[in-house]
Amino acid sequence: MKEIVVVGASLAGLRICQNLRRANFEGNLTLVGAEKHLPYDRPPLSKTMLSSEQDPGELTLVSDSELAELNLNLILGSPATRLDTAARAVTVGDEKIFYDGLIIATGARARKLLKTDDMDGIHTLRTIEDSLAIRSALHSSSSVVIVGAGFIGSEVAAAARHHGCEVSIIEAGGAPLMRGLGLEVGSACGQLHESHGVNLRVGVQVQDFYGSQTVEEVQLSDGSRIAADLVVVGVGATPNTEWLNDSGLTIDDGVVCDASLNAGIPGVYAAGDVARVPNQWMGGGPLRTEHWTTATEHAALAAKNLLQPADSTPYDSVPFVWSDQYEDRIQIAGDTGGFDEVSFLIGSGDEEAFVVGYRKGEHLAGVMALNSMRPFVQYRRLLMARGQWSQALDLAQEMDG
Amino acid sequence: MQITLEVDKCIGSGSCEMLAPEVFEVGEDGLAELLDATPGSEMESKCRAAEESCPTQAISVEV
Ligand SMILES: Cc1cc2nc3c(=O)[nH]c(=O)nc-3n(C[C@H](O)[C@H](O)[C@H](O)COP(=O)(O)OP(=O)(O)OC[C@H]3O[C@@H](n4cnc5c(N)ncnc54)[C@H](O)[C@@H]3O)c2cc1C
Ligand code: SF4
Repeated sequence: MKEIVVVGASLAGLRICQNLRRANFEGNLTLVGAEKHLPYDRPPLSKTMLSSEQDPGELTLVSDSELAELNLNLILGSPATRLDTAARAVTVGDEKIFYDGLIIATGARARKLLKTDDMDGIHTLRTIEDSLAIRSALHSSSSVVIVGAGFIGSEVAAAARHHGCEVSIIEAGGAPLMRGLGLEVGSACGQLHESHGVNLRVGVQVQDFYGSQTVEEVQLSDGSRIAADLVVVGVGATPNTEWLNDSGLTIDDGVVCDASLNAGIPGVYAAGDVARVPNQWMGGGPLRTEHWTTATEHAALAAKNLLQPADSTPYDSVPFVWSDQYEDRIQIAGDTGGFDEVSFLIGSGDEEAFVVGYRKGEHLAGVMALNSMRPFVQYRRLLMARGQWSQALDLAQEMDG
Repeated sequence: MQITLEVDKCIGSGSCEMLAPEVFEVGEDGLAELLDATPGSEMESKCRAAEESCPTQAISVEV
């Protein structure tokens, strides 16, 4: 293999290049990115960037010296617009870049609500620019409305309270984080917001925004209106696959891959938020994940499997995600969706620290821990060993005693 | 090789101990610990992988 092209210059794209070079790939390596920045880290965009005056330069994921060592043909600020799998070429601007191996790592972008582009003061959060704009607005805003109580919305709500703003969260589901964690645990997470003075409104939708040039009021589906000088919409992300529409690859909520991250054509792989990949540990069909650790694991595996297709390894990992809100830390491992039973293993929903277990059949499928780093590590290990539910209960007793 | 771990950044993902168990271990308190702060150069590849896989950039490797 002489020419490898990696499209998408963020976490997954950079990690792919680092892994390829570490595996002694000495050919030409091109990294194409739509953003003008060097690859940077997104989790701080909704955390330390908003709660402090952190310099965005600190988020860069690669030092100048390492970048020089990687010896990349780095094209930033210019998106790939087309993939021709017959000619093995990626179009960037007026140029065609030919490849022997291609890894797609174009990630996802924040989903928007209709009409939100017409009015100032309504933001989504995915990039450095978004984060800086929200940070600056937080300094001058008094009433902040967050649409969607997922991780990003919850973290922005916490930051807005830190700035002393009045904060309302509008969540269409029955509780925050409900899609990922279920109603009961989501409700416990809702208490975090309420105890910090946030007006949490569940089971209602945003119907319209009012204001002349800048947003002034948000109209809800129950007829009520809330004053707002800043709105942050956190309603999920859409994979960046439009540039692949006529490539012949299977696109269905992401680039559909097999367990080796191969996208259906020899030499073409995908990784990170854009990839829909079966995870052997989870069982079942291809899944798209938006987790930091998944992006790095995909990156390492896609690089390896591209270089050694005969010796391909399937993706097999216990999913992990974390979130920092207020002074609280949430850690989640394993599969917390589609469970048979959910129960508090340690503590209860009214406490400031607890661990929740998710049971599927006889097995512990997933755990969610609030401010419980110590037990979390034990449960993460139990998940890796595909432990039984009874072992999870025993562990809880041991740790309580 | 010199490994530095900023333990106050650790969020207990366990990635480091999976990739370089000779050097990192997540302890009883749920935070990573260094088992060997100055491993030999044969560990470089594993330690770099751990450094790149830490979600909060708590690990740095200097050769
Ligand atoms: C505010 C925020 C907070 C988060 N917090 C957490 C957290 O606490 N914990 C956690 O586990 N995860 C978190 N995440 C998720 C995590 O950041 C993502 O999983 C990770 O960024 C995925 O990396 P990626 O490289 O696959 O995709 P992205 O980071 O989305 O990068 C894709 C890159 O490709 C570029 N691109 C798109 N189209 C093209 C094209 N046609 N040509 C060239 N380039 C293109 C994009 O501009 C972008 O730079 C957070 C995400 C956000 C936005
Ligand atoms: S990889 Fe980083 S966050 Fe995860 S356990 Fe190790 S030091 Fe902690």
